[in-house]
Amino acid sequence: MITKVALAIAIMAVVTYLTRVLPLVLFKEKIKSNF
Amino acid sequence: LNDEYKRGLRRGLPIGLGYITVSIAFGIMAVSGGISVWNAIMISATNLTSAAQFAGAGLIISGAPLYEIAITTLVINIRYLLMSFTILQKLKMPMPGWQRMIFAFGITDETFTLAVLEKEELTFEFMMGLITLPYIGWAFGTVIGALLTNMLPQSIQNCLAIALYAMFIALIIPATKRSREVTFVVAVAVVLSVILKFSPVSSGFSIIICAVFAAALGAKMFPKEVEE
Repeated sequence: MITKVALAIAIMAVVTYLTRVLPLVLFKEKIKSNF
Repeated sequence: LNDEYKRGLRRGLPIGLGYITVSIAFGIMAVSGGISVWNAIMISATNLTSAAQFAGAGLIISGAPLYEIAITTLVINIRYLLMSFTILQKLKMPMPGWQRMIFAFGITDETFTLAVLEKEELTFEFMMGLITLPYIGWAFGTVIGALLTNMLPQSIQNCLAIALYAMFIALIIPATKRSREVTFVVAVAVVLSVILKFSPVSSGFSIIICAVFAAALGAKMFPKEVEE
């Protein structure tokens, strides 16, 4: 049975990973930027 | 080993060593708070993020609902979106999506800083080398901290929970000495946190409100001028 703690860890991991990966996979090419 | 990978490994070595001490503190904090050794290690192995892990573990310990944990993690880690956008500008193209999906896991404040300071374009091999030792250091430190705490008597474990506060003070004080803007933001967050402590607002939302309000006020009062 999945415990609440395991679920919390999974949620933290998914949210964290999405913040890192989304810009890298949603944009296939370099975007114009002022950086 | 590929030369690019080895170059990344060399760059990541100091980060990996530095991560060990912080993740030992995380392991101690998590296990002394009641999280099992296995779960503490799983948090580090699947998250690789300091502030959000500390906050998330604190919320797990306090029994906060899952949506609060999700929102808190998002608020603390939303900066990674900007880091990934910046790294995207420096990648050696073309780079397949699956390679980006793999190295994305290892983007942290420190690996990002070293990556953007690189003069050359970033290859998949370099990024993998860069994140390898920080990941190992982070996981290894957590294992040490978690096992160490588990072997200590309960009374000592309870005392070690204060390591979290000591670590954050050690992070904040040097920054406040260097910058009055940071001092202002920290002071606003502290005052607001104390006020919310005595309100019906839950601990998870208290972190979110303090972080967003103090950061927004700081940005409004001390705007950073954009170089043309």
